[in-house]
Amino acid sequence: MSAKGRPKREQAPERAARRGAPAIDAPAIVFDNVSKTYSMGLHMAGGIKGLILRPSEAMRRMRLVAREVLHEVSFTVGHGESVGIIGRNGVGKSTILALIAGVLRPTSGSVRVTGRVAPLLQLGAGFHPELTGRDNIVLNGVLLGMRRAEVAAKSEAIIEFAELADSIDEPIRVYSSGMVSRLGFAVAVHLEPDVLLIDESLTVGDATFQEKCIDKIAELHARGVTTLLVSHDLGSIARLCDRAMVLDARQIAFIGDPAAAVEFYRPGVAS
Amino acid sequence: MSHDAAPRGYYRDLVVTLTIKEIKVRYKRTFLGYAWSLLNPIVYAVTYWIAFKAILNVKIEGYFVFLLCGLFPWQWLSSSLQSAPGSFVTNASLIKKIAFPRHLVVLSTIITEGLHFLLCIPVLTVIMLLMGRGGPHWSWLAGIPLLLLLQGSIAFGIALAIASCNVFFRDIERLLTLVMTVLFYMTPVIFEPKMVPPMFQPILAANPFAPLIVAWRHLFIDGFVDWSSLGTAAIAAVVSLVIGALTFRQMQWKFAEAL
Repeated sequence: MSAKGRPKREQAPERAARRGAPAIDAPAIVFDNVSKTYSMGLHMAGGIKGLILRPSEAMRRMRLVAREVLHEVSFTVGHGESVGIIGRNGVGKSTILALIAGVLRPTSGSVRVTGRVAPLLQLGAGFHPELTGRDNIVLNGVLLGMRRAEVAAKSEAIIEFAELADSIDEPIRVYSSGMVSRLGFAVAVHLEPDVLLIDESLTVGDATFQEKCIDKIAELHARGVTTLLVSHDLGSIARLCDRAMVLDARQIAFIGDPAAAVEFYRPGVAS
Repeated sequence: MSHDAAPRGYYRDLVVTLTIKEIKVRYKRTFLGYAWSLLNPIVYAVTYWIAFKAILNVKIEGYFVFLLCGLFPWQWLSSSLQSAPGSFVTNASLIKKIAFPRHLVVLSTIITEGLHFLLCIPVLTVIMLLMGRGGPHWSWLAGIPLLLLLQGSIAFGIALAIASCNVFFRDIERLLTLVMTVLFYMTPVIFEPKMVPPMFQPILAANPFAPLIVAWRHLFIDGFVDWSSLGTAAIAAVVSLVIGALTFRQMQWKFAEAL
């Protein structure tokens, strides 16, 4: 990943102005012929025993059992663009997000991302149940890439957004799952990311908070934050995205207008 | 977010945050808290004193203090290494989603355990003064920071390798309990290096923990910096850091897949 620090904020209005238009200057995300193969045998059931007793066989098995998830995938996401990813389970949607987050490396090809990436975590990942909400904001914020001073400055805004003022000094383990998700969402969006990765996590909290999340994502998008959204909720893809891609058979089967993508994916659903 | 380009201050912030988290989590719902890091070595020292001094009559002067001066640093090593296998495995959900510098999780565990050890030194000093053997000395000003650094580096390198390998081979977790017990008896904690017969001396020479324990004891009891042990420990530190770094670099890109 090449991260050239944070892109300049003063460009934001300009970016918002050409919202929806394909980006011309340096793109936020570039996938160039990216293939990703998972070696399924890597996590060997035989453990060390297999490796010691029959090293050659163990090594061979590691290479044999591999599954290609993405095959020579190329696409570009411009600064401030919002792109939805749809496709059946196991088709590589989360793999794309993990490659962007820098958690995985492509087997071949290259992935380039500019700016600070904020992945929206699944329910409570990165939180420690015994720590208070306040402590967890610091922990999660710093893990996501914020400096301690930065988290401290934003802490109150995060608490307010999460609507947790009353229970912020209680340990997370007494929180309801909705409260935990709210806190997680609040920390991630206050990171002021350049690239926001959302993996099926829109279904957090009650209907009111979900609405608030969607509004917040739309607001970040309007401010020029690049957004990638993986969802089975075709409605929110159509609503939040400038473009959408349909993944099928290890490749991009369709990329373009969200409504058309939804139509391509499941004819008759978009309308 | 890309950590190859992260500013240096960010690394410090992350280590501080992770260390504070470790300390806070450690003492949640425990009644004795910090006293546990005192109690463990002291109880072991009493036990070994009964077994080896009162029963087997080992020929070492001031055996109780001798034991304590080995057991406190040993506790830092052993608890650091014992918690290493879990460092990455228990943070699976994070590692699969965020590209933070993961080796700092391991480092923060070593630092947390090191802080506990540091907080034990005043208590050790009081015991030494009460028993009239050893005591604070000017050499501590140089010896303690140096030994902290060397022992921390040795523990960090080894723990990093263990933590990385355990992502793929969970056997290591079980193996480690056994190895640590064996290693304990191969490290001069309950005996003096000169008591070891020539035949077994090579084991002592190959053990990276041996020079550390010897140096701590010379520092605490005899009040001098054992430069020759420190030199050996420095070599061990470089070797273990290199092994740890290479293992980690080799494996870290597969963590998210294997967890």
